[in-house]
Amino acid sequence: MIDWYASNTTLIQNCMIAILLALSVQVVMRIGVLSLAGIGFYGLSEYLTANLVIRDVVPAEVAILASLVVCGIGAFVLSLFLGRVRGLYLAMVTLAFVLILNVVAINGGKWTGGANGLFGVPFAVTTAHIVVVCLIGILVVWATERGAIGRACEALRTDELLATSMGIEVRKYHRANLVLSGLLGGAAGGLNVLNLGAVGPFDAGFGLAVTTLTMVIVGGRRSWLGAVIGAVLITWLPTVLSFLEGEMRNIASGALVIVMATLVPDGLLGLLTSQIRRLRAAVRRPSGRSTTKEVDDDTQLVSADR
Amino acid sequence: MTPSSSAQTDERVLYGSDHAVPGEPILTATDIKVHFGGVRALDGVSLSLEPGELLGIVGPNGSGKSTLLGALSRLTRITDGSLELDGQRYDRIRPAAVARMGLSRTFQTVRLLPRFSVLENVMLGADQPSLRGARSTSTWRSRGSEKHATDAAMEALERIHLADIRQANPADLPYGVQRKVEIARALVRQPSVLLYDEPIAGMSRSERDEIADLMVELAEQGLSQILVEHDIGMVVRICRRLIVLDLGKKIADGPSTDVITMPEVRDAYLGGTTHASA
Repeated sequence: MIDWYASNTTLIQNCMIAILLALSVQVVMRIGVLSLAGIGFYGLSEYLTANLVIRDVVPAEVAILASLVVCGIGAFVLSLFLGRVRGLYLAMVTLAFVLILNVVAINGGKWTGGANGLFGVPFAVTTAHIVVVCLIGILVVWATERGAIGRACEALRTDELLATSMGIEVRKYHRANLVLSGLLGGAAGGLNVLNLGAVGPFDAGFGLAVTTLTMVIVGGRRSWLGAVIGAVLITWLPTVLSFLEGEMRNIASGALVIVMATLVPDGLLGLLTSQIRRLRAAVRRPSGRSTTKEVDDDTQLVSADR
Repeated sequence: MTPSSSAQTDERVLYGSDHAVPGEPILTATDIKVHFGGVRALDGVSLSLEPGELLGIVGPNGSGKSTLLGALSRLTRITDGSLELDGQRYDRIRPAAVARMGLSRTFQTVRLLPRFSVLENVMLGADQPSLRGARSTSTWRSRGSEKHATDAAMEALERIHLADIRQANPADLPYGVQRKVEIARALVRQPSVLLYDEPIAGMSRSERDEIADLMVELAEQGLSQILVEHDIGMVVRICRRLIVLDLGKKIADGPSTDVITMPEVRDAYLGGTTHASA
């Protein structure tokens, strides 16, 4: 066990950070919103934390907290703009946000280290730190998935018009989830830079956005557990596929995404829960008349009555 | 089945307003216009709803009935006009806040969340804190709690005899029962006004009668209701007053038995041309 831990420490650390990042995308997906802003805040937090620590402005812990505050405020401001758009347009705005931050990182001079990035950031976090922050992140997402808040999120994801008629403030929930997304992304970024000791302009770009999205889709977007499963699986996958050579590994990863997205759209967790539900239903009663059609998952606003 | 009558103030135990004055309307809409580009879906419709009244709204397809419910519940943006609930203007208030002020509605299509049980679907209606402080007997701490939501949902389900199926998945229930679950969800907040958009469409005769009885019973308990429905027979049977819409205008407003014999109402339904504004 100790041997296994020693030889996999980096992988475990990367998994924990990936979980936080995957949660930052999942918390908005649970209300039916596709936002990649969490990736942008991941990058922002990396640079901000690195600068504060390299320049000896504040200790590492304070630097990470300061980055979180900036990410939270930034996410709130971004959410004010995002209140006006929905669906694919919202996703495009958040992708543009990520790409703009990339350009700023490349052209940021001494603050970002340009195309080379920043090096020599002190290694200020241990695995224990990362585990604790990761658990806090999971706890917050788990807690907001239950009870009235959880029901409101599910209502927003399935039928925004119905949610409104139930007294649920759509904008308030969008804002809160986007801020939470920014905080989770920020926490992941701050931990990552203090763990790796370096940050580059291409760390938090389109590639990371796609990888994170893959984690959530493969694991399951409806629950924190899906994000955790996906993050662990995708982080570990290259190691598992190490028997394959070079490009074959990437092809195998890509094939997995295609298979999951087309055949198991609810992810591994969705597959698991639906099987359990089916089994329970089979035990409870032989058959039932079905008249309610499942509302399409990505339907944001069913406006038949408008 | 008897026609509904306005409930006495002392009977207003379950529903109704905090400070409704007998004789004063609980809901007033004045000169409501809803224009979609060049289309005038509603063109200056006014109505008032008395406390405990069950008001029927009928009209041919495309006459603006559902748009009117949309406007009253603020889910459809109004172009012009004013709305008042319990003496408070609400035509500039956000639709979610209007729901929390005590205006509930059901929709034309079944809108139950497929991943939730019947109980959870009904709890959704009890989750958000009410904006009518005096109506709620619970404290701020118990309001919004899981127990409060469960109790309120169970009470609403028991009221319409659905407590036994609380754990069922909505998809496994007959259509009529699904619609009843939606009514339970609309009732759980103890609204002062409840709007129904064709609640009995697609139901069997016995299911229709059951819903009709429920509405009459709720009216007797003081709940003010507006019923948009195609089945004129049922509307005339249970609603004392009727409003008829045609092409976005109100063409009649009065006692049901009088209204259905009016020539302009017959013309609207049979495709005549002698429309007159009421």
